[in-house]
Amino acid sequence: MVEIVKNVVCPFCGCLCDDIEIMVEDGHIVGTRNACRIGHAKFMHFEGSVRYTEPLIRENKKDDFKKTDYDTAIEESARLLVESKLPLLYGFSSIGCEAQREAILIGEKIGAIVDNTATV
Amino acid sequence: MQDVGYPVCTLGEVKNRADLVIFWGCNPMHAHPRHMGRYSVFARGFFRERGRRDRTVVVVDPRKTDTAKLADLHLQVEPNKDYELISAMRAVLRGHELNVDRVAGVPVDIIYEAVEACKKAQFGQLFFGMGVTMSRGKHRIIDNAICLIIDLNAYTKFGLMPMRGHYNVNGFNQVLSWLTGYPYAVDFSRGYPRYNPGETSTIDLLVRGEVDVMMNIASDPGAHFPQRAVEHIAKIPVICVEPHQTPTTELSNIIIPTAFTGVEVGGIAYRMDGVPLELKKVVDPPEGVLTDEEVFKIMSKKIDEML
Repeated sequence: MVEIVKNVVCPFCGCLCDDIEIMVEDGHIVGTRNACRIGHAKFMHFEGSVRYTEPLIRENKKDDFKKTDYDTAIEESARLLVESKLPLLYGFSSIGCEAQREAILIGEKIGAIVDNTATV
Repeated sequence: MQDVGYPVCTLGEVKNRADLVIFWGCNPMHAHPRHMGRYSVFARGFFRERGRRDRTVVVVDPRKTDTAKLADLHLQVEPNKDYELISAMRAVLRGHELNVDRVAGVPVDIIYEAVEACKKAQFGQLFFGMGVTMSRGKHRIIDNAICLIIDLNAYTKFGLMPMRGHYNVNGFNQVLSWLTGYPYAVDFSRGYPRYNPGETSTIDLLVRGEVDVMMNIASDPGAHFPQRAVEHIAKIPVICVEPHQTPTTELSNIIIPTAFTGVEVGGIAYRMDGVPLELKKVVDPPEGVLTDEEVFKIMSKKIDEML
């Protein structure tokens, strides 16, 4: 059974087209309507891309990644950030405002540089 | 932008009123495929019932892009000479004569024609993209463009708007502005927010090698930054909060995957004109995958414990 979700806002570019219809079957997106090619690709998730579903960690950048759990990965990240003299938090442009707020408050606590893609 | 102010309107105003649209250093045909159809050029608005036929389109771009091909007027500016061209347009607007054949590679006749079209318009809108912000002069070019818009408002109504690439670039600028007073490139290292692009902006800090840890959130500097900045990223510990494999995750020490906002989790995002819209959750994220907000909340708690 294909279910159609209407009036979805497209999370790709700054146009935020709000008239997208998404076709969902068994919890998977099977098609879109009204979206442009780029928006369609974001929802459909092609490009042969590799999606991570578990946190990965490695001490040395030349080593291979090892699977870990969220608790360890976040704890280790927090340690790196706290021990750093001048940490940089960069990106932010493809997450919601609620998450942006949390991350900026982290930046304030640890005395970081906080910057997004508008800097480019 | 903070030096001169920022005349804006919503995309709805552009759709309903604009009879002159300028695309400066951007190519919406490819980068924002539905922009012209929904908001700016082909859209049929309240006072612009005939859509494209009611509007004049001016494109400023060094290349003959697909957007430039459908423009009424194409100012083929030489790369890195946008500032000169804007200054020339402001001079013409103020009644000065240009005593040369070309400015920034554009024949003066075309500059006169473009300025005349701007003055005659009932409602004009300038959209600018990375072609402007990445050229020599960077945000100073925008300052000059805003001054051009201010000058034009002596004759008619005119506004300008950046063409935002990612969907929530504007959202971050809004959130950071109401938390700190500055839109981006904020330095908290002295305990209070400081803002000085060139000193506190990411690429300059990386090129000078001043930062010693980088947390990269849902973006891919490894693929888009200048070589010297990426070289420094490769040297320092990097944390990626990112759902996909990218060139940056290949350079990182820790990868924390999260759910896709707007597909697997809801949230608020700001459109390029500053209108906040609510993103929907359409499907569930893969089992066990946390959202960005959850990850940062846990991290925040752990940092509190360590400090």
